[in-house]
Amino acid sequence: MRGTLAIARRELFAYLLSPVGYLVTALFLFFTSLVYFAAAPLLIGAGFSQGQPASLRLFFQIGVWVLFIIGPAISMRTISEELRLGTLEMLLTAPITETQIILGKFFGSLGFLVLMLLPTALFVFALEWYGRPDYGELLSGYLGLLLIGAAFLSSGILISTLTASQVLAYIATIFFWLILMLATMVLPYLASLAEGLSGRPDNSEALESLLSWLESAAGFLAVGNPRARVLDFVNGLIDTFNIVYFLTFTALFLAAAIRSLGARRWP
Amino acid sequence: MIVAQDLSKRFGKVLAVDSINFRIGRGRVVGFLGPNGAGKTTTIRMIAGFLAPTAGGVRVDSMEVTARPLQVRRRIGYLPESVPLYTEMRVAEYLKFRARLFGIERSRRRAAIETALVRCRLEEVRRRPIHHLSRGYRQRVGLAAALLHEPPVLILDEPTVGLDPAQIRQVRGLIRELAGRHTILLSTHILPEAERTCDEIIMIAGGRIRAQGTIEQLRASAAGEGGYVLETDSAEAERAVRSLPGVRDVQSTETDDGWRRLVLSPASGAGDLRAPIAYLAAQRGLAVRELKRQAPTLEQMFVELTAGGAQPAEGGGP
Repeated sequence: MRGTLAIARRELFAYLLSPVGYLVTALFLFFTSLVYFAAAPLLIGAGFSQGQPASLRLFFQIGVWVLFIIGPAISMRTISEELRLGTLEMLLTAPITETQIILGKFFGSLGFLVLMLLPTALFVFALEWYGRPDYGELLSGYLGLLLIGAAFLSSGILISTLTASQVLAYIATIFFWLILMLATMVLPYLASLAEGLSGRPDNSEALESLLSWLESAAGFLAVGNPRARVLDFVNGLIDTFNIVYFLTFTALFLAAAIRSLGARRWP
Repeated sequence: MIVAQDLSKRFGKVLAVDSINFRIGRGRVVGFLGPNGAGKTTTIRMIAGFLAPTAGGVRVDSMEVTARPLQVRRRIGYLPESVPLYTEMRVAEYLKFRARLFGIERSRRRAAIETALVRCRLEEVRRRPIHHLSRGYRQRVGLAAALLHEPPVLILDEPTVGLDPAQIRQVRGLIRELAGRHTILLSTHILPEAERTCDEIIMIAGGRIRAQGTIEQLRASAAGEGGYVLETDSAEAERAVRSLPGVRDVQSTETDDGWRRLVLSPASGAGDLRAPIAYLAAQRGLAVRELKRQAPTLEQMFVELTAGGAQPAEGGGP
Protein backbone atom coordinates (compact mmCIF):
# COMPACT_ATOMS: atom_id res chain seq x y z
CA MET A 1 0.00 0.00 0.00
CA ARG A 2 2.71 2.43 1.04
CA GLY A 3 4.80 1.53 -1.99
CA THR A 4 1.79 2.00 -4.29
CA LEU A 5 1.15 5.40 -2.80
CA ALA A 6 4.78 6.46 -3.12
CA ILE A 7 4.81 5.56 -6.80
CA ALA A 8 1.40 7.08 -7.53
CA ARG A 9 2.46 10.31 -5.89
CA ARG A 10 5.72 10.50 -7.82
CA GLU A 11 3.93 9.69 -11.05
CA LEU A 12 1.40 12.46 -10.51
CA PHE A 13 4.11 14.99 -9.70
CA ALA A 14 6.08 13.92 -12.75
CA TYR A 15 3.09 14.91 -14.91
CA LEU A 16 2.68 18.17 -13.07
CA LEU A 17 6.37 18.99 -13.43
CA SER A 18 6.57 18.17 -17.11
CA PRO A 19 5.49 20.43 -19.95
CA VAL A 20 3.80 17.42 -21.54
CA GLY A 21 1.30 17.32 -18.67
CA TYR A 22 0.25 20.90 -19.25
CA LEU A 23 0.21 20.52 -23.00
CA VAL A 24 -2.07 17.50 -22.74
CA THR A 25 -4.43 19.29 -20.35
CA ALA A 26 -4.50 22.38 -22.54
CA LEU A 27 -5.26 20.32 -25.64
CA PHE A 28 -8.06 18.49 -23.89
CA LEU A 29 -9.70 21.66 -22.60
CA PHE A 30 -9.17 23.53 -25.84
CA PHE A 31 -10.73 20.94 -28.11
CA THR A 32 -13.64 20.02 -25.90
CA SER A 33 -14.60 23.63 -25.16
CA LEU A 34 -14.02 24.69 -28.75
CA VAL A 35 -16.53 22.14 -29.95
CA TYR A 36 -18.97 22.54 -27.08
CA PHE A 37 -19.05 26.34 -26.84
CA ALA A 38 -18.19 27.50 -30.35
CA ALA A 39 -18.18 25.04 -33.23
CA ALA A 40 -21.31 23.05 -32.43
CA PRO A 41 -23.53 26.03 -31.51
CA LEU A 42 -22.45 27.94 -34.63
CA LEU A 43 -22.52 25.11 -37.12
CA ILE A 44 -25.31 22.76 -36.08
CA GLY A 45 -27.06 24.66 -33.30
CA ALA A 46 -26.14 22.01 -30.74
CA GLY A 47 -24.03 22.14 -27.58
CA PHE A 48 -23.99 25.31 -25.53
CA SER A 49 -26.60 27.42 -27.30
CA GLN A 50 -29.99 28.94 -26.79
CA GLY A 51 -32.97 26.58 -26.87
CA GLN A 52 -30.80 23.51 -26.30
CA PRO A 53 -31.21 21.27 -23.23
CA ALA A 54 -28.88 22.23 -20.38
CA SER A 55 -26.69 19.16 -20.73
CA LEU A 56 -23.06 18.29 -21.36
CA ARG A 57 -23.84 15.36 -23.66
CA LEU A 58 -21.97 16.87 -26.56
CA PHE A 59 -18.98 17.61 -24.36
CA PHE A 60 -18.92 14.00 -23.13
CA GLN A 61 -19.20 12.68 -26.68
CA ILE A 62 -16.28 14.83 -27.80
CA GLY A 63 -14.45 14.09 -24.56
CA VAL A 64 -14.40 10.36 -25.29
CA TRP A 65 -12.65 10.97 -28.60
CA VAL A 66 -10.21 13.47 -27.16
CA LEU A 67 -9.45 11.01 -24.35
CA PHE A 68 -8.84 8.36 -26.97
CA ILE A 69 -6.11 10.60 -28.42
CA ILE A 70 -4.77 11.89 -25.10
CA GLY A 71 -5.11 8.90 -22.74
CA PRO A 72 -2.36 6.93 -24.50
CA ALA A 73 -0.18 10.07 -24.35
CA ILE A 74 -0.55 10.04 -20.57
CA SER A 75 0.14 6.34 -20.18
CA MET A 76 2.95 6.05 -22.75
CA ARG A 77 5.63 7.30 -20.38
CA THR A 78 4.67 5.19 -17.34
CA ILE A 79 7.02 2.23 -17.82
CA SER A 80 8.69 3.13 -21.13
CA GLU A 81 10.37 6.14 -19.53
CA GLU A 82 11.66 3.97 -16.66
CA LEU A 83 12.99 1.49 -19.19
CA ARG A 84 14.74 4.21 -21.17
CA LEU A 85 16.32 5.87 -18.13
CA GLY A 86 17.18 2.55 -16.48
CA THR A 87 15.29 3.61 -13.36
CA LEU A 88 13.15 0.48 -13.62
CA GLU A 89 16.15 -1.32 -12.15
CA MET A 90 15.79 0.85 -9.04
CA LEU A 91 12.08 0.07 -8.77
CA LEU A 92 12.48 -3.67 -9.34
CA THR A 93 15.18 -3.89 -6.67
CA ALA A 94 13.18 -1.91 -4.10
CA PRO A 95 11.15 -3.89 -1.55
CA ILE A 96 7.89 -3.55 -3.47
CA THR A 97 6.01 -5.96 -5.69
CA GLU A 98 5.33 -5.58 -9.40
CA THR A 99 1.66 -5.21 -8.47
CA GLN A 100 2.47 -2.18 -6.35
CA ILE A 101 4.50 -0.65 -9.17
CA ILE A 102 1.74 -1.10 -11.77
CA LEU A 103 -1.05 0.01 -9.44
CA GLY A 104 0.99 3.04 -8.40
CA LYS A 105 1.51 3.95 -12.05
CA PHE A 106 -2.17 3.41 -12.76
CA PHE A 107 -3.52 5.49 -9.90
CA GLY A 108 -0.94 8.20 -10.53
CA SER A 109 -2.00 8.56 -14.16
CA LEU A 110 -5.67 8.26 -13.25
CA GLY A 111 -5.16 11.04 -10.71
CA PHE A 112 -3.74 13.19 -13.47
CA LEU A 113 -6.78 12.40 -15.61
CA VAL A 114 -9.04 13.58 -12.80
CA LEU A 115 -7.03 16.80 -12.46
CA MET A 116 -7.37 17.27 -16.20
CA LEU A 117 -11.16 16.91 -16.00
CA LEU A 118 -11.50 19.25 -13.01
CA PRO A 119 -11.46 22.53 -14.95
CA THR A 120 -14.49 21.30 -16.92
CA ALA A 121 -16.47 21.93 -13.75
CA LEU A 122 -16.58 25.45 -15.22
CA PHE A 123 -18.82 24.03 -17.95
CA VAL A 124 -21.22 22.91 -15.25
CA PHE A 125 -21.19 26.39 -13.70
CA ALA A 126 -22.00 27.87 -17.08
CA LEU A 127 -24.97 25.52 -17.45
CA GLU A 128 -26.17 26.34 -13.96
CA TRP A 129 -25.95 30.06 -14.77
CA TYR A 130 -28.18 29.83 -17.85
CA GLY A 131 -30.37 26.83 -17.15
CA ARG A 132 -31.21 23.92 -14.88
CA PRO A 133 -28.94 21.00 -15.70
CA ASP A 134 -29.75 17.43 -14.65
CA TYR A 135 -26.96 16.58 -12.21
CA GLY A 136 -27.66 12.86 -12.40
CA GLU A 137 -26.93 12.91 -16.09
CA LEU A 138 -23.78 14.99 -15.56
CA LEU A 139 -22.45 12.55 -12.97
CA SER A 140 -23.21 9.64 -15.26
CA GLY A 141 -21.28 11.34 -18.07
CA TYR A 142 -18.26 12.01 -15.89
CA LEU A 143 -18.35 8.42 -14.63
CA GLY A 144 -18.34 7.26 -18.25
CA LEU A 145 -15.30 9.42 -19.09
CA LEU A 146 -13.48 8.18 -16.02
CA LEU A 147 -14.21 4.52 -16.77
CA ILE A 148 -13.21 4.61 -20.41
CA GLY A 149 -10.22 6.74 -19.39
CA ALA A 150 -9.18 4.04 -16.92
CA ALA A 151 -9.43 1.44 -19.67
CA PHE A 152 -7.32 3.59 -22.04
CA LEU A 153 -4.70 4.18 -19.34
CA SER A 154 -4.43 0.56 -18.22
CA SER A 155 -4.03 -0.66 -21.79
CA GLY A 156 -1.38 2.01 -22.34
CA ILE A 157 0.49 0.92 -19.21
CA LEU A 158 0.48 -2.69 -20.42
CA ILE A 159 1.89 -1.65 -23.79
CA SER A 160 4.49 0.63 -22.19
CA THR A 161 5.89 -2.36 -20.25
CA LEU A 162 6.83 -3.82 -23.62
CA THR A 163 8.94 -1.03 -25.11
CA ALA A 164 11.35 1.68 -24.06
CA SER A 165 10.04 3.88 -26.86
CA GLN A 166 7.24 6.18 -25.79
CA VAL A 167 6.26 6.89 -29.39
CA LEU A 168 5.86 3.19 -30.07
CA ALA A 169 3.83 2.75 -26.88
CA TYR A 170 1.55 5.61 -27.94
CA ILE A 171 0.96 4.36 -31.46
CA ALA A 172 0.42 0.76 -30.38
CA THR A 173 -2.17 1.81 -27.79
CA ILE A 174 -4.07 3.95 -30.30
CA PHE A 175 -4.01 1.10 -32.81
CA PHE A 176 -5.28 -1.40 -30.29
CA TRP A 177 -8.41 0.65 -29.60
CA LEU A 178 -8.89 1.55 -33.25
CA ILE A 179 -8.84 -2.11 -34.19
CA LEU A 180 -11.20 -2.98 -31.36
CA MET A 181 -13.63 -0.28 -32.38
CA LEU A 182 -13.43 -1.13 -36.07
CA ALA A 183 -13.91 -4.84 -35.39
CA THR A 184 -16.91 -4.16 -33.20
CA MET A 185 -18.38 -1.77 -35.78
CA VAL A 186 -17.59 -3.52 -39.06
CA LEU A 187 -18.58 -7.03 -38.00
CA PRO A 188 -22.14 -6.10 -37.03
CA TYR A 189 -22.41 -4.54 -40.49
CA LEU A 190 -21.29 -7.84 -42.01
CA ALA A 191 -23.88 -9.54 -39.85
CA SER A 192 -26.62 -7.41 -41.34
CA LEU A 193 -25.43 -8.53 -44.76
CA ALA A 194 -25.54 -12.12 -43.53
CA GLU A 195 -29.06 -11.59 -42.38
CA GLY A 196 -30.01 -10.54 -45.85
CA LEU A 197 -28.42 -13.67 -47.31
CA SER A 198 -29.93 -16.20 -44.92
CA GLY A 199 -33.27 -17.86 -45.56
CA ARG A 200 -32.90 -17.99 -49.34
CA PRO A 201 -34.26 -21.29 -50.74
CA ASP A 202 -31.07 -22.40 -52.52
CA ASN A 203 -28.81 -21.95 -49.44
CA SER A 204 -27.05 -25.12 -48.36
CA GLU A 205 -27.27 -26.19 -44.74
CA ALA A 206 -23.59 -25.45 -44.20
CA LEU A 207 -23.92 -21.89 -45.50
CA GLU A 208 -27.00 -21.38 -43.39
CA SER A 209 -25.19 -22.45 -40.20
CA LEU A 210 -22.17 -20.29 -41.08
CA LEU A 211 -24.42 -17.30 -41.54
CA SER A 212 -26.19 -17.82 -38.25
CA TRP A 213 -22.83 -18.24 -36.49
CA LEU A 214 -21.63 -15.00 -38.07
CA GLU A 215 -24.75 -13.25 -36.87
CA SER A 216 -24.36 -14.35 -33.28
CA ALA A 217 -20.61 -13.61 -33.25
CA ALA A 218 -21.28 -10.15 -34.61
CA GLY A 219 -24.02 -9.59 -32.06
CA PHE A 220 -21.56 -10.53 -29.34
CA LEU A 221 -18.90 -8.22 -30.71
CA ALA A 222 -21.33 -5.34 -31.10
CA VAL A 223 -21.91 -5.52 -27.35
CA GLY A 224 -18.14 -5.18 -26.93
CA ASN A 225 -17.94 -1.85 -28.75
CA PRO A 226 -16.42 0.55 -26.22
CA ARG A 227 -18.02 3.55 -27.87
CA ALA A 228 -21.48 2.07 -27.58
CA ARG A 229 -20.81 1.20 -23.94
CA VAL A 230 -19.71 4.70 -23.05
CA LEU A 231 -22.58 6.37 -24.94
CA ASP A 232 -25.03 4.93 -22.42
CA PHE A 233 -23.23 6.88 -19.72
CA VAL A 234 -23.26 10.01 -21.87
CA ASN A 235 -27.02 9.70 -22.22
CA GLY A 236 -27.37 9.43 -18.47
CA LEU A 237 -27.85 5.69 -18.30
CA ILE A 238 -25.76 3.94 -15.64
CA ASP A 239 -25.92 0.27 -16.56
CA THR A 240 -24.13 -2.20 -14.29
CA PHE A 241 -23.09 -4.16 -17.35
CA ASN A 242 -21.24 -1.14 -18.72
CA ILE A 243 -19.44 -0.58 -15.42
CA VAL A 244 -18.41 -4.23 -15.29
CA TYR A 245 -17.36 -4.03 -18.93
CA PHE A 246 -14.87 -1.20 -18.36
CA LEU A 247 -13.67 -2.44 -14.99
CA THR A 248 -13.02 -5.89 -16.47
CA PHE A 249 -11.00 -4.38 -19.30
CA THR A 250 -9.02 -2.28 -16.83
CA ALA A 251 -8.38 -5.19 -14.46
CA LEU A 252 -7.28 -7.50 -17.27
CA PHE A 253 -4.87 -4.93 -18.68
CA LEU A 254 -3.39 -4.22 -15.26
CA ALA A 255 -3.00 -7.92 -14.49
CA ALA A 256 -1.28 -8.45 -17.83
CA ALA A 257 0.97 -5.43 -17.17
CA ILE A 258 1.98 -6.91 -13.81
CA ARG A 259 2.87 -10.20 -15.48
CA SER A 260 4.73 -8.44 -18.26
CA LEU A 261 6.76 -6.41 -15.77
CA GLY A 262 7.59 -9.53 -13.76
CA ALA A 263 8.74 -11.24 -16.94
CA ARG A 264 11.47 -8.58 -17.27
CA ARG A 265 13.37 -10.46 -14.57
CA TRP A 266 13.58 -13.44 -16.95
CA PRO A 267 15.21 -12.21 -20.14
CA MET B 1 26.14 -12.70 4.57
CA ILE B 2 25.96 -13.41 0.84
CA VAL B 3 26.24 -16.97 -0.41
CA ALA B 4 26.03 -17.87 -4.09
CA GLN B 5 25.56 -21.49 -4.97
CA ASP B 6 25.99 -22.79 -8.52
CA LEU B 7 24.62 -19.47 -9.67
CA SER B 8 24.06 -19.37 -13.44
CA LYS B 9 22.44 -17.04 -15.92
CA ARG B 10 21.83 -17.72 -19.55
CA PHE B 11 20.71 -15.11 -22.09
CA GLY B 12 19.52 -17.09 -25.07
CA LYS B 13 22.57 -18.99 -26.25
CA VAL B 14 25.06 -17.07 -24.15
CA LEU B 15 25.94 -18.38 -20.73
CA ALA B 16 26.75 -15.10 -19.00
CA VAL B 17 27.34 -16.56 -15.55
CA ASP B 18 28.46 -20.17 -15.30
CA SER B 19 27.70 -21.85 -11.95
CA ILE B 20 29.51 -19.45 -9.67
CA ASN B 21 30.07 -20.22 -6.00
CA PHE B 22 31.22 -17.75 -3.39
CA ARG B 23 30.64 -16.72 0.17
CA ILE B 24 30.98 -13.20 1.53
CA GLY B 25 31.36 -12.74 5.26
CA ARG B 26 29.58 -10.14 7.34
CA GLY B 27 31.26 -6.74 7.36
CA ARG B 28 33.71 -7.53 4.57
CA VAL B 29 34.46 -5.32 1.60
CA VAL B 30 34.66 -7.61 -1.39
CA GLY B 31 35.57 -6.66 -4.92
CA PHE B 32 34.25 -8.34 -8.01
CA LEU B 33 37.16 -7.91 -10.38
CA GLY B 34 37.01 -8.76 -14.03
CA PRO B 35 37.20 -7.37 -17.55
CA ASN B 36 34.16 -5.86 -19.19
CA GLY B 37 31.71 -8.56 -20.19
CA ALA B 38 32.93 -10.96 -17.50
CA GLY B 39 29.49 -11.39 -15.94
CA LYS B 40 29.95 -9.01 -13.00
CA THR B 41 26.86 -6.93 -13.62
CA THR B 42 24.72 -9.98 -14.31
CA THR B 43 25.82 -11.60 -11.05
CA ILE B 44 25.20 -8.40 -9.13
CA ARG B 45 21.77 -8.03 -10.67
CA MET B 46 20.88 -11.53 -9.57
CA ILE B 47 21.92 -10.75 -6.00
CA ALA B 48 19.96 -7.50 -6.02
CA GLY B 49 16.91 -9.35 -7.34
CA PHE B 50 16.69 -7.51 -10.66
CA LEU B 51 17.33 -10.67 -12.66
CA ALA B 52 16.19 -14.17 -11.81
CA PRO B 53 18.92 -16.84 -11.99
CA THR B 54 18.64 -19.54 -14.66
CA ALA B 55 19.99 -22.08 -12.18
CA GLY B 56 21.39 -22.10 -8.68
CA GLY B 57 20.65 -19.41 -6.15
CA VAL B 58 21.82 -16.64 -3.87
CA ARG B 59 21.16 -16.29 -0.18
CA VAL B 60 21.46 -12.98 1.60
CA ASP B 61 21.37 -13.18 5.38
CA SER B 62 20.35 -16.87 4.98
CA MET B 63 17.33 -15.94 2.85
CA GLU B 64 16.94 -17.12 -0.72
CA VAL B 65 16.61 -14.09 -3.02
CA THR B 66 13.90 -15.61 -5.22
CA ALA B 67 11.94 -17.15 -2.34
CA ARG B 68 11.67 -14.06 -0.11
CA PRO B 69 12.38 -11.22 -2.51
CA LEU B 70 10.99 -8.34 -0.46
CA GLN B 71 12.81 -9.24 2.76
CA VAL B 72 16.06 -9.64 0.86
CA ARG B 73 15.67 -6.40 -1.05
CA ARG B 74 14.99 -4.55 2.20
CA ARG B 75 18.45 -5.67 3.37
CA ILE B 76 20.26 -4.52 0.24
CA GLY B 77 21.29 -1.06 -0.86
CA TYR B 78 22.00 -1.26 -4.57
CA LEU B 79 23.64 1.25 -6.86
CA PRO B 80 23.57 0.18 -10.53
CA GLU B 81 26.45 1.17 -12.78
CA SER B 82 24.47 3.70 -14.83
CA VAL B 83 23.22 5.43 -11.62
CA PRO B 84 19.63 5.74 -12.79
CA LEU B 85 17.87 8.68 -11.12
CA TYR B 86 14.73 10.71 -11.77
CA THR B 87 16.62 13.73 -12.99
CA GLU B 88 13.70 16.13 -12.87
CA MET B 89 13.50 15.74 -9.07
CA ARG B 90 15.50 17.66 -6.52
CA VAL B 91 18.05 15.73 -4.45
CA ALA B 92 16.10 15.82 -1.18
CA GLU B 93 12.83 15.12 -3.01
CA TYR B 94 14.31 12.05 -4.63
CA LEU B 95 15.59 10.76 -1.30
CA LYS B 96 12.15 11.34 0.20
CA PHE B 97 10.60 9.27 -2.57
CA ARG B 98 13.12 6.48 -1.96
CA ALA B 99 12.43 6.62 1.77
CA ARG B 100 8.71 6.15 1.11
CA LEU B 101 9.43 3.34 -1.32
CA PHE B 102 11.49 1.52 1.29
CA GLY B 103 8.77 1.96 3.88
CA ILE B 104 10.75 4.20 6.23
CA GLU B 105 8.23 5.57 8.68
CA ARG B 106 7.33 9.21 8.50
CA SER B 107 8.81 9.92 11.94
CA ARG B 108 12.24 8.57 10.95
CA ARG B 109 12.18 9.77 7.36
CA ARG B 110 13.64 13.23 7.91
CA ALA B 111 16.45 11.93 10.10
CA ALA B 112 17.30 9.18 7.62
CA ILE B 113 17.47 11.67 4.76
CA GLU B 114 19.62 14.09 6.79
CA THR B 115 22.02 11.30 7.74
CA ALA B 116 22.35 10.14 4.14
CA LEU B 117 22.89 13.72 2.92
CA VAL B 118 25.63 14.28 5.48
CA ARG B 119 27.32 10.94 4.93
CA CYS B 120 27.51 11.49 1.19
CA ARG B 121 28.33 15.22 1.56
CA LEU B 122 25.32 16.40 -0.34
CA GLU B 123 24.01 19.06 2.06
CA GLU B 124 24.84 21.97 -0.20
CA VAL B 125 23.07 20.53 -3.26
CA ARG B 126 19.98 19.19 -1.52
CA ARG B 127 17.65 21.62 -3.29
CA ARG B 128 19.21 21.28 -6.71
CA PRO B 129 17.43 19.38 -9.48
CA ILE B 130 19.41 16.24 -10.19
CA HIS B 131 19.84 17.04 -13.90
CA HIS B 132 21.92 20.08 -12.88
CA LEU B 133 24.42 17.92 -10.99
CA SER B 134 27.77 16.63 -12.22
CA ARG B 135 28.44 12.94 -12.65
CA GLY B 136 30.31 12.82 -9.34
CA TYR B 137 27.43 14.36 -7.43
CA ARG B 138 24.93 12.04 -9.11
CA GLN B 139 27.05 9.10 -8.02
CA ARG B 140 26.81 10.36 -4.45
CA VAL B 141 23.05 10.88 -4.75
CA GLY B 142 22.76 7.27 -5.91
CA LEU B 143 24.90 6.17 -3.00
CA ALA B 144 22.83 8.22 -0.54
CA ALA B 145 19.67 6.60 -1.94
CA ALA B 146 21.23 3.17 -1.48
CA LEU B 147 22.20 3.96 2.13
CA LEU B 148 18.94 5.53 3.15
CA HIS B 149 17.33 2.50 4.74
CA GLU B 150 20.57 1.47 6.52
CA PRO B 151 20.88 -1.82 4.68
CA PRO B 152 23.30 -4.39 6.08
CA VAL B 153 24.48 -5.11 2.53
CA LEU B 154 25.65 -2.56 -0.02
CA ILE B 155 26.08 -3.55 -3.65
CA LEU B 156 27.86 -1.06 -5.87
CA ASP B 157 28.31 -1.77 -9.56
CA GLU B 158 31.41 0.03 -10.88
CA PRO B 159 31.04 2.90 -8.40
CA THR B 160 33.94 4.96 -9.74
CA VAL B 161 33.50 4.52 -13.46
CA GLY B 162 33.28 7.80 -15.37
CA LEU B 163 34.54 9.94 -12.49
CA ASP B 164 37.55 12.24 -12.50
CA PRO B 165 40.49 11.39 -10.21
CA ALA B 166 39.38 13.72 -7.41
CA GLN B 167 35.87 12.29 -7.46
CA ILE B 168 37.26 8.76 -7.54
CA ARG B 169 39.23 9.52 -4.39
CA GLN B 170 36.12 10.92 -2.70
CA VAL B 171 33.97 7.91 -3.57
CA ARG B 172 36.72 5.51 -2.47
CA GLY B 173 37.02 7.35 0.83
CA LEU B 174 33.29 7.15 1.26
CA ILE B 175 33.30 3.40 0.64
CA ARG B 176 36.10 2.93 3.19
CA GLU B 177 34.09 4.93 5.72
CA LEU B 178 31.04 2.75 5.13
CA ALA B 179 33.07 -0.43 5.39
CA GLY B 180 32.66 -0.96 9.11
CA ARG B 181 28.89 -0.74 9.08
CA HIS B 182 27.94 -2.63 5.96
CA THR B 183 28.93 -5.71 4.05
CA ILE B 184 30.01 -4.24 0.73
CA LEU B 185 30.19 -5.94 -2.62
CA LEU B 186 31.56 -3.72 -5.36
CA SER B 187 32.52 -4.50 -8.91
CA THR B 188 35.35 -3.00 -10.88
CA HIS B 189 37.49 -3.75 -13.88
CA ILE B 190 40.43 -1.82 -12.45
CA LEU B 191 42.82 -3.85 -10.30
CA PRO B 192 44.38 -1.02 -8.25
CA GLU B 193 40.89 0.07 -7.34
CA ALA B 194 40.11 -3.36 -5.94
CA GLU B 195 43.50 -3.54 -4.17
CA ARG B 196 42.91 -0.17 -2.54
CA THR B 197 39.33 -0.56 -1.36
CA CYS B 198 38.69 -4.26 -0.82
CA ASP B 199 39.54 -6.85 1.82
CA GLU B 200 38.87 -9.70 -0.56
CA ILE B 201 38.78 -10.08 -4.30
CA ILE B 202 36.78 -12.40 -6.49
CA MET B 203 38.28 -12.49 -9.98
CA ILE B 204 35.75 -13.31 -12.60
CA ALA B 205 36.08 -13.74 -16.35
CA GLY B 206 33.98 -15.42 -18.98
CA GLY B 207 31.23 -15.97 -16.43
CA ARG B 208 33.43 -18.07 -14.16
CA ILE B 209 35.38 -17.36 -11.00
CA ARG B 210 39.11 -17.51 -11.77
CA ALA B 211 40.47 -16.79 -8.31
CA GLN B 212 39.25 -15.58 -4.97
CA GLY B 213 40.69 -14.71 -1.58
CA THR B 214 42.21 -11.88 0.37
CA ILE B 215 44.72 -9.71 -1.44
CA GLU B 216 47.58 -11.34 0.52
CA GLN B 217 46.37 -14.81 -0.39
CA LEU B 218 46.10 -13.90 -4.03
CA ARG B 219 49.57 -12.34 -4.00
CA ALA B 220 50.98 -15.48 -2.39
CA SER B 221 49.39 -17.77 -4.95
CA ALA B 222 50.48 -15.47 -7.74
CA ALA B 223 54.11 -15.71 -6.53
CA GLY B 224 54.06 -19.47 -7.08
CA GLU B 225 53.36 -18.86 -10.72
CA GLY B 226 56.22 -16.45 -11.26
CA GLY B 227 58.68 -16.46 -14.10
CA TYR B 228 62.46 -16.66 -14.42
CA VAL B 229 64.84 -14.40 -16.24
CA LEU B 230 68.07 -15.75 -17.65
CA GLU B 231 70.66 -13.76 -19.58
CA THR B 232 73.33 -15.70 -21.42
CA ASP B 233 75.70 -15.18 -24.34
CA SER B 234 74.59 -18.18 -26.40
CA ALA B 235 71.83 -18.46 -28.98
CA GLU B 236 71.76 -22.20 -28.16
CA ALA B 237 70.48 -21.48 -24.67
CA GLU B 238 66.85 -21.22 -25.66
CA ARG B 239 66.66 -24.78 -27.00
CA ALA B 240 68.54 -26.14 -24.00
CA VAL B 241 66.31 -24.43 -21.48
CA ARG B 242 63.17 -25.51 -23.27
CA SER B 243 64.09 -29.13 -22.68
CA LEU B 244 64.18 -28.61 -18.90
CA PRO B 245 61.34 -30.39 -17.11
CA GLY B 246 58.94 -27.89 -15.54
CA VAL B 247 59.41 -25.19 -18.16
CA ARG B 248 56.21 -24.37 -19.96
CA ASP B 249 57.29 -21.61 -22.26
CA VAL B 250 60.36 -19.57 -23.12
CA GLN B 251 60.52 -16.17 -24.67
CA SER B 252 63.81 -15.05 -26.11
CA THR B 253 64.92 -11.55 -26.98
CA GLU B 254 68.28 -10.12 -27.95
CA THR B 255 69.61 -7.33 -25.80
CA ASP B 256 71.29 -4.25 -27.24
CA ASP B 257 74.74 -5.60 -26.48
CA GLY B 258 74.17 -8.94 -28.22
CA TRP B 259 73.23 -11.14 -25.23
CA ARG B 260 70.13 -13.33 -25.09
CA ARG B 261 67.48 -12.53 -22.54
CA LEU B 262 65.24 -15.53 -21.85
CA VAL B 263 62.02 -15.29 -19.89
CA LEU B 264 60.83 -18.70 -18.68
CA SER B 265 57.29 -19.46 -17.64
CA PRO B 266 57.11 -22.49 -15.36
CA ALA B 267 54.44 -25.15 -15.56
CA SER B 268 52.19 -25.06 -12.55
CA GLY B 269 53.60 -26.91 -9.56
CA ALA B 270 57.10 -26.96 -10.99
CA GLY B 271 58.70 -25.70 -7.80
CA ASP B 272 61.78 -23.50 -7.69
CA LEU B 273 63.54 -23.79 -11.04
CA ARG B 274 66.55 -21.58 -10.26
CA ALA B 275 68.89 -24.47 -9.33
CA PRO B 276 68.02 -26.67 -12.35
CA ILE B 277 68.58 -23.70 -14.63
CA ALA B 278 71.94 -22.96 -13.03
CA TYR B 279 73.05 -26.63 -13.34
CA LEU B 280 71.99 -26.70 -16.96
CA ALA B 281 73.91 -23.53 -17.71
CA ALA B 282 77.02 -24.96 -16.03
CA GLN B 283 76.70 -28.27 -17.95
CA ARG B 284 76.37 -26.58 -21.32
CA GLY B 285 79.08 -24.06 -20.53
CA LEU B 286 76.81 -21.07 -20.96
CA ALA B 287 78.05 -17.75 -19.68
CA VAL B 288 75.34 -16.41 -17.35
CA ARG B 289 75.23 -12.79 -16.31
CA GLU B 290 71.81 -12.84 -14.72
CA LEU B 291 69.47 -15.44 -13.28
CA LYS B 292 66.53 -14.38 -11.16
CA ARG B 293 63.04 -15.30 -10.17
CA GLN B 294 60.41 -12.71 -11.02
CA ALA B 295 57.76 -12.25 -8.37
CA PRO B 296 54.72 -11.57 -10.46
CA THR B 297 52.36 -8.76 -9.56
CA LEU B 298 48.68 -9.21 -9.06
CA GLU B 299 48.40 -7.26 -12.28
CA GLN B 300 50.10 -10.04 -14.26
CA MET B 301 47.96 -12.62 -12.56
CA PHE B 302 44.83 -10.65 -13.39
CA VAL B 303 45.84 -10.29 -17.01
CA GLU B 304 46.77 -13.95 -17.28
CA LEU B 305 43.68 -15.26 -15.52
CA THR B 306 41.31 -13.17 -17.47
CA ALA B 307 42.98 -13.29 -20.88
CA GLY B 308 41.33 -15.62 -23.33
CA GLY B 309 38.56 -16.49 -20.92
CA ALA B 310 36.55 -13.38 -21.60
CA GLN B 311 33.55 -13.63 -23.82
CA PRO B 312 31.24 -10.84 -24.80
CA ALA B 313 28.45 -11.96 -22.54
CA GLU B 314 27.51 -9.07 -20.31
CA GLY B 315 26.53 -6.25 -22.60
CA GLY B 316 24.69 -3.29 -21.21
CA GLY B 317 21.74 -5.40 -20.19
CA PRO B 318 18.16 -4.46 -20.91
